[in-house]
Amino acid sequence: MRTGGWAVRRSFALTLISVGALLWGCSGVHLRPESYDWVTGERTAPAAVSAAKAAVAEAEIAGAARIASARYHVARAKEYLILAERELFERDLAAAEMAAGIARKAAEEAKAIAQRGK
Amino acid sequence: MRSAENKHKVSRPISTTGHALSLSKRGGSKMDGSPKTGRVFQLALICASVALMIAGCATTASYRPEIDSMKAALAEAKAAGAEARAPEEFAAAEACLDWFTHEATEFNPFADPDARIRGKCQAAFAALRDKMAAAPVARIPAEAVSPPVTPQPETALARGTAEERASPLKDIFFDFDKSSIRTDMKKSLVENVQWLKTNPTASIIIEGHCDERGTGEYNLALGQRRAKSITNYLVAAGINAKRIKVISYGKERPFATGHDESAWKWNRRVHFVLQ
Repeated sequence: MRTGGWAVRRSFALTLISVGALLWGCSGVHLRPESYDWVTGERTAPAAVSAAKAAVAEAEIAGAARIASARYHVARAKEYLILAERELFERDLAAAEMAAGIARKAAEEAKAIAQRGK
Repeated sequence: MRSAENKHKVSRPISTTGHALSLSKRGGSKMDGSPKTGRVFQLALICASVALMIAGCATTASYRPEIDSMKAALAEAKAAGAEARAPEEFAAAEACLDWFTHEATEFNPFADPDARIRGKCQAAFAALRDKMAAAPVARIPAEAVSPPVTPQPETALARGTAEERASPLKDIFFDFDKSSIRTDMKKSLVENVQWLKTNPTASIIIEGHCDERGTGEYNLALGQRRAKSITNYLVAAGINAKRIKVISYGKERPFATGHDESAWKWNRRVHFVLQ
């Protein structure tokens, strides 16, 4: 009986460890960039997406979509804004903030080209 | 007497281990501590864990060739002036590739990038190919500054200034950490010399560029060496040195985005700008 009890405890421990490892692996926590502040990200990521949206709107108002050399930057900004919104929805704050940053930069570039073109 | 009999009945299976085991063999509880069942269970758990790890690694690795080929296709499209010829399609393909790469390297068995993104990316790249095929060079508008054969950095497109109008001079690409001219680049250089000789009033800026590896300072020096190497070749071929200005941007103005050889090979270059 002593041997049987030990086997049960060992199996239980192994199960616990396996389930823990599985949950940890599937959570993707270990793949998160360590440099990103996930606590502050709760606030900064949505703000970054909003800023990118505003920048895209400004670029459109400046008429960037009508200037050939700015069209790529406008399109890039829009594509990355969609990505940022999707990542924000999926709670991948680091990816959302990064995509929003690219979108904002592209939109600002498009706006600058549009303003130079006028 | 009766209680003593009961006591005896209760204690019997406990005191005789052999009897308990024989009960389990006849269909007792699975968690009754049978060594054989326990060992099988443990082995199954270990196998499942190892299989999961292998599957996870294989999932990520299996996308690598596809991602690499998409990166190469994107770089080639960019070199062919896709930013100007198919801006929307190029941007969509670029963003999709970034998304695909991000998702594929994130092991999440419940969100398989194969099912979610691959189709979207393939459609984006197909649209880019179609648009590029349907938009011949002659239709490029005047303000689209990127010529089909001469890649230009993103910033050149962004600047769009008069001195950076379409350059008929071809870019020269270099090997990693080298400033010597590759033999396969000689043909392009000869054509550039030819063009400069037939346009004796044209002055040029030779820009030296590098890939992202190494420090900023080192790459500035390497870019300078690359630009200087091309200048020396042009001067030796009979082009007046006064027509040439040299500048190094190091790794600051990459032509192709990406963090592997498929992007780096496009970024180790000398670019010619007409003044």
